[in-house]
Amino acid sequence: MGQVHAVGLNYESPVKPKTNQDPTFPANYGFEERGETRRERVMIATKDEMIAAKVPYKYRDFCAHKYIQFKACARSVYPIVIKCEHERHEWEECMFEDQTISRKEFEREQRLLLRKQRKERIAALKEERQKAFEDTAEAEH
Amino acid sequence: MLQTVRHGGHWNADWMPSLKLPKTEEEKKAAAKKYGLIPADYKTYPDDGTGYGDYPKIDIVSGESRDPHALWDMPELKRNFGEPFHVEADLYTEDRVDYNRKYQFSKAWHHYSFFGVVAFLAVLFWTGEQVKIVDVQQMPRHVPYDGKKHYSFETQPLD
Repeated sequence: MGQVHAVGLNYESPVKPKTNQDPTFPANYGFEERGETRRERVMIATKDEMIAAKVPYKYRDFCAHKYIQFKACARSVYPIVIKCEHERHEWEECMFEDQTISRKEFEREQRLLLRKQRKERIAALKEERQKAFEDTAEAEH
Repeated sequence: MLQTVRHGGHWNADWMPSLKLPKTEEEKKAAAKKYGLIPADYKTYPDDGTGYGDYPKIDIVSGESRDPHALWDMPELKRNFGEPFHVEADLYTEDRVDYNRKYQFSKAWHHYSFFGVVAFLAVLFWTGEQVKIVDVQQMPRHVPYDGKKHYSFETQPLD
């Protein structure tokens, strides 16, 4: 009862992105230099369609069009909903892609934070070394 | 909206207590005699809109707390003939509220222990909500129509 599937990596990262907030780095940071932008996500089901189909608030995301199609199919063959497995699988695939994007966002955030930390550490070390050099140079004179 | 009508048993208009409280001594004596009390015991409820007219106010002795081995005239009610009924006597019968029961703990302790346990469990539930055992490594889902731009990870060349 209440089994929990622990999913995670085996190492503890020194930086932890906040999973309840949006990413802190701009979405196209690092892409402009390569001459690219990230593709914007397009919403296929309009607001009115979602309201008319009475989509639950939880599912009013970028996969709502698949949800609506699945529900329409199920309604037509009710109660043998197994006949709509194809539509349901399409919806589930869309949700999986959505989750994949979220996980990639997390990984991107983590790597950018690590990079930032690394740069700060290098800059701090350089400053220390410069200071030490200047102190010894002064001492010699 | 529910509208309920309570039927509190058989009720006779002739036996309704009069709504005028007795003021003079003779009136009080007559009322006491009517209800089967001695004049010294006759007291009424205060007349502030929640009273019962000239019906007397007597101590509550609930059915369960009356002696089960004594000889009553009516053993089912544990009542003798002519004994005045309390206003809420149908509430204090043997199968209902027992007003005279003595508890090991005071009523305040009853409240403290109940709400104490509930509060303790509520604190456990709340702290459990804060700590995440399964730390899913994913940023919040993209919610459309919230004024922000959402991007996927497919790239396209800059125009």
